Amino acid sequence: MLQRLLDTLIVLLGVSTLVFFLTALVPGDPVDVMLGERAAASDREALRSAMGLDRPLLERWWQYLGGVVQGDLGQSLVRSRPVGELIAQRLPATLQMAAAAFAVVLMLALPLGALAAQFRGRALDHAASVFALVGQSIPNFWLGPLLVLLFSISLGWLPVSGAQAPGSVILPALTLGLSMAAVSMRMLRASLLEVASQDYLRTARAKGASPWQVLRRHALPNALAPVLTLLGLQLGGLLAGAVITEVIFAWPGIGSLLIEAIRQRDYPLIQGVVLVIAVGYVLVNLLTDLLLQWLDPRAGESR
Amino acid sequence: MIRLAGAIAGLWVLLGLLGLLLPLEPNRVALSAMFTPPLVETGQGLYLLGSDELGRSLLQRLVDGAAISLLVALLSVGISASVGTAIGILAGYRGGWVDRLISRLIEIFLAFPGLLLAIAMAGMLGPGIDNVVIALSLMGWVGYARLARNQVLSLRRRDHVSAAVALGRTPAAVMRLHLLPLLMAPLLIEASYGIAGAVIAEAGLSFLGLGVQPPQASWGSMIREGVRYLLVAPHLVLVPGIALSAVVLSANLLGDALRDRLDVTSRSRR
Repeated sequence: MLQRLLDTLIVLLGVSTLVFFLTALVPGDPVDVMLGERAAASDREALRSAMGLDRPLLERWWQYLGGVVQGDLGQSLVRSRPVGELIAQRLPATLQMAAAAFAVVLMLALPLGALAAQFRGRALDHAASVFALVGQSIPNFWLGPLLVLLFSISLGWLPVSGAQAPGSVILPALTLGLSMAAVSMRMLRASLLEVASQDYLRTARAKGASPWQVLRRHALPNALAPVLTLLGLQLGGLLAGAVITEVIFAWPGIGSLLIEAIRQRDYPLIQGVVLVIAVGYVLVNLLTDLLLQWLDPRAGESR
Repeated sequence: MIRLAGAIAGLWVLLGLLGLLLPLEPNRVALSAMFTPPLVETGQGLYLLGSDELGRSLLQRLVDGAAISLLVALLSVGISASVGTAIGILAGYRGGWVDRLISRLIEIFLAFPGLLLAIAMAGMLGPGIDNVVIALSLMGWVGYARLARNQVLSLRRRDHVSAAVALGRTPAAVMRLHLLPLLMAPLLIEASYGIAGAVIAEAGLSFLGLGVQPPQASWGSMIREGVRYLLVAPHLVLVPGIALSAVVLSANLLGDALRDRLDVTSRSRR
């Protein structure tokens, strides 16, 4: 347990270091990129010292880490406001969309996975696996426009984009959640089938429990562990998937903030958003692990 | 099903090669023929898949996009698979601090979900197809490294490895001749899923405007540009989207078939 927390700390340290060194990928001099080749020397110097580029790399790295630990993600170059503040403004919208998408995942994956396992090899199972395969292969930046075409343009039921109108979260949530629902459904089905051959299920059936009781009381609780791990991974993954989805639907979250930052070459803002998403992902995974250990103490021993 | 998948994948490779070799004109503008629906004859000739807002042939742009996705997928999977495998074998075989260091590095890279790292890297590098390949390779090596490391950890205690060491083979030779061949099956499976991932990633980055630059066609940028005309010309979005999904679906199916055929039970993260 303590080891797990320590590992997480080291990973977080590594993550912020990697994010810091992302600027090393900027070709040439970031100041040239931002101001153009013909900028006045004095302007370049001013920006250079504003960005701290005149100091040695190691010192800047140390300072960046120090800032991150205190929640200081630096200053946006374009909007001249703290990066942390800009992200905090946009984060609720992303979390709202991710939560809605997660609800889509749960509502689709759990019943479909259970039904597919229950009716293994039958038409329903085949239909579910076709759904899973297709859901996994349709990229969300195509699925999004398709859903808009169907539900907003042809049927006129839901708004095309934005976050103001009621029901505007439905299409982004479907777009983001569908492929993850497909993966989780496959996982739950496989996990249930693995559990199905266990002795305690035979016992349960032998003592006369109905298939529904067997599924709910005996199979599901034992099959849920790998699915929970996957759902934890996906909950974090939703934050990253949100980038493309937010762009499709003009959703005012941190994903579209990231793309705006990239277009404006606002490097500290890019770093900040990437760091926040990665840290969120790591923490969600940590929580999932702890939850699993609490649910099933055996999970901790094998580590 | 698997034949269909093979046929689609084959068609993709063929179209991609044609796109690289044929003197196509995917950027030729013909305003008199703009928004031609598929299979409609115009004064400019027949447009099999229709034309876009500038009257450019969607078929030619599709072929051009196939070339881009093929190029990016092969290059990025090739680079990340070879670099990642080398690093993974080294970590698994050497053990000790080398392994600890590399494992930490893998963990750190895996802390960035999905396309996030590629988006960030492509954003830093600036747009362009070469930068897409760099970003996808920088992100992709981790999966192969982890797979190779885990496999080698269990393989290194095999008798034939001990025998090779006892016979005085150098570590490099042991890794290359006695460990690498045993890794080929799981690596091949991982790489076929990797192709699917790279095709989606390239299209995704181009959709975000971080990949190919206009007027160059990519399936992702075609979707991005077509979305604006969803109401008047849905085929602009449907055509590249169907091609993209079909290729990704068949790469996934081929990966599944390969896994069943080679009977590798453990599969790493997708």
